[in-house]
Amino acid sequence: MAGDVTSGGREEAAVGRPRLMVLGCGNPFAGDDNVGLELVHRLRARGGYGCELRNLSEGGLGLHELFDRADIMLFVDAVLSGAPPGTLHLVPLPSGDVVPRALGAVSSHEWGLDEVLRLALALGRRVPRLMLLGVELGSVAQGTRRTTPVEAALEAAIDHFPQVQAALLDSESPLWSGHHSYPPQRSSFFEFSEAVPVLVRTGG
Amino acid sequence: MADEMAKGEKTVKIEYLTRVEGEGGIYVRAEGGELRDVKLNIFEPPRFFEAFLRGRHFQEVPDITARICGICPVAYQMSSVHALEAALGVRPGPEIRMLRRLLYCAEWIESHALHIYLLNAPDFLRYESAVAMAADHPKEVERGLRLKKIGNGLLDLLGGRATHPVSVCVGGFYKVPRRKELEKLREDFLWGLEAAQETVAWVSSLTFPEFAPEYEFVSVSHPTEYPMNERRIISSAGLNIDPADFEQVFLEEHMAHSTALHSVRADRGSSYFVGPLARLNLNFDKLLPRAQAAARSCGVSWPCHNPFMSIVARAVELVHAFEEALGIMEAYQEPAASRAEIQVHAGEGCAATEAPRGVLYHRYRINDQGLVEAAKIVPPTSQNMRRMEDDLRQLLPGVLNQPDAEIARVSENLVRSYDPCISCSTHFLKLRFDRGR
Repeated sequence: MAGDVTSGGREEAAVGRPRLMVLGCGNPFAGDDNVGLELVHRLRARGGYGCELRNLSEGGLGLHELFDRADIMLFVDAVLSGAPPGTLHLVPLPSGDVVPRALGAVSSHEWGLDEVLRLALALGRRVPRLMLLGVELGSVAQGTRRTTPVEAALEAAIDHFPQVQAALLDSESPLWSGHHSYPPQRSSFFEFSEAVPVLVRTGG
Repeated sequence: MADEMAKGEKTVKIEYLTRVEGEGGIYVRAEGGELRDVKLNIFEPPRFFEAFLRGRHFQEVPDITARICGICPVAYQMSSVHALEAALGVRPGPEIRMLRRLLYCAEWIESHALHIYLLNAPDFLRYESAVAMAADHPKEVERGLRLKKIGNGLLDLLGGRATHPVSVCVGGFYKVPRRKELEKLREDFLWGLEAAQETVAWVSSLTFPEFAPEYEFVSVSHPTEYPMNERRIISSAGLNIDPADFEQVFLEEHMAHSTALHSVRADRGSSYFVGPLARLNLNFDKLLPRAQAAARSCGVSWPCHNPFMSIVARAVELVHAFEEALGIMEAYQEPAASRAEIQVHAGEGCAATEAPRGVLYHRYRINDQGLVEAAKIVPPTSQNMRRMEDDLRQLLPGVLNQPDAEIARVSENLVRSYDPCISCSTHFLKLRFDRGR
C-alpha cells in the first residue's frame, strides 16, 4: 500500500460528497520536512473532517493503488521554491511549478508522480483531482524541531482546513485554476482564511 | 560502421540506466573492432550501513537494515534476524518459521511482479517503458499491477506496513496476524495463483537472445523446501557449505569504477550467479507442484543458462510464492507467543537467505550487552556485479558492429535481466561506449 493507514473519519464522509483523501508526506526526523505528517496527525486529532487521512510512506507506483479510493487527493508536503519559509502554496498537480518532495521524478525504479499519471492514463483509469498543499520549508536538519514560520503556517493550515476543504470539494473553485501562494505575514494568513471562501463564492 | 570501427577506438556510454533500482551506468570501449573494456559504473554513494550498525542494540538491527531497500526490506530483515538468532542461540518455533516464509512470499510476489511486468517485459517487447507498453498491453500491465498489489497487501498485514515493515524482531514478530485476517486474503491469492501461471505462459512466449554462458549458479538450499530462509549454500560446481564458511569461499573486492563491491570465488577469482535462475536451476525438485508443472510446460529446458530467461524463472517463482502462501495461510494457527525469549550474551552469528534478487549474507558480532560490535552485509547485486560484466564481455563482441543505440539496448536488457538493486549494493544505468572516433 502506498500509504500507511492512518485513516480517520472516512466513515463520517457525507454520502454523495466527493471523497477527499489527505496524504501527509515527509521525513518525521528532519525538521520542517515533517510538516505534512504533522498536519495529518493534527487533522486526525480534530476528527478528520470526513476525510481519509494517510501518511504517504511510498511515492511512485503504490500511489496507483490509492486512486480508486478518492475523488480528490490533497498531498501535504514541505516544498522548496525560493519563497520565504512558512509560505503556503496550493498547487493543482501535476505542476511544472512545484513538485512535492515525496513525489519527485526520481523515486524507486523511477516511478514519480508524472509516470504514475501517464500509466493511469494509458490504462484508461480514472485519476482523482490532485492538489498540493505545500509549506515552504526553512530547515530540514536532522533531529531539529520545526522552524517558527513553518509551525505558524501549519497552525494556519489546520485552523483554516474546513475552508480549504470546501474549496477543494468545489470543482469550479478558482483554487483549481493554478498556483496560489500565501506569504507568511499575519495579514496573509488572515487573507488565506478569508480568501478561500471568497474564491469558492467567485467560482460558484 | 564496421569499417569505421576497424580504424580505431569506439566508446558507448549509457550514462544512466533506467528501470533498475539505484544509480549507475555502463562503459564500453572497443578498438579496431575488438572489445577492450566493459565496466558497470556504480556512482550511487556508498551507504555505510555496516559502520553505523556498530554500537546499536541487536533488536534495532532488523529495523535499520530494512531501510537498505524499499523493494526488498524483508530480505534484509530475514538475514539479520537469522544471523542474530544464530549469535544468541535463539530458535523460534515452527509457527514463527512459517510466518517468516509467508512474509518472504509476500516480498517475492511484489518484487517479482514489479520486475516482470513493469521493468523487464518492455525490453523484450521493444518498448521504452512500461507506460508505453501499457497502451498496447493493458491486460498484462493490469495483471502485473494487481499481482504487486496483492503482495503489498500481505506485506502490509504481516509487516505492519508494506514498505520497511516494522513487525519483525529477533526471536519472531512484535505482532502476528489473526487467522481471520489471513482468511480475508484467500480469494485474492487464489486469483493470484492463476494469474501467476498465466504470467509464466506469457513470459515464456517472449523472444529471447541466444546466449548461454557457462555459469556457477549459487543459492541457499534446504533439504525439503524451496530456499528462502535457510539452510546451506550450494552451487552448480558442487559447493555445499554452511553459511559460516561464506567469507572463506566468497571474497568481496573493491573496484575503482564502482561504489559497490564485487564478489568473486575466493579460490579462483571467478564470478558466479545468484538470483531466481540460480535458485530454480539448483532447486527445481523443491518447487511446489503447480510451480513445477508451470516450469515443465513452459518450453524452457531446465537447468537454463540464458540470463535473459531469468524472467521465466521469476514467473515460476511467482507461482511458487502464491502456492506456498496459500498453503501456509490454510494451515496457520496463531502462535501462543509471537516471539521467543532471548537471554542476551556475547556471540557471533551469520545467515544467508534468498532475497528476490539472490543470496543475501549477514554476519554480526554482539557483546554481552547485546550491542553490535561488527556487521557484514553481502547483498545479491554486488555478488552478481562481476558476473554482469563478464556477461557483457561475452555478449557485446557479437553486436559491436551495430549502432550505439542497439548496443545500449542489448546491454541494458542484459543487466536488467539480473534485476540489479544498486541501492542495495552500494548500491544503475548509464552506457558509455568508446568507439575511438
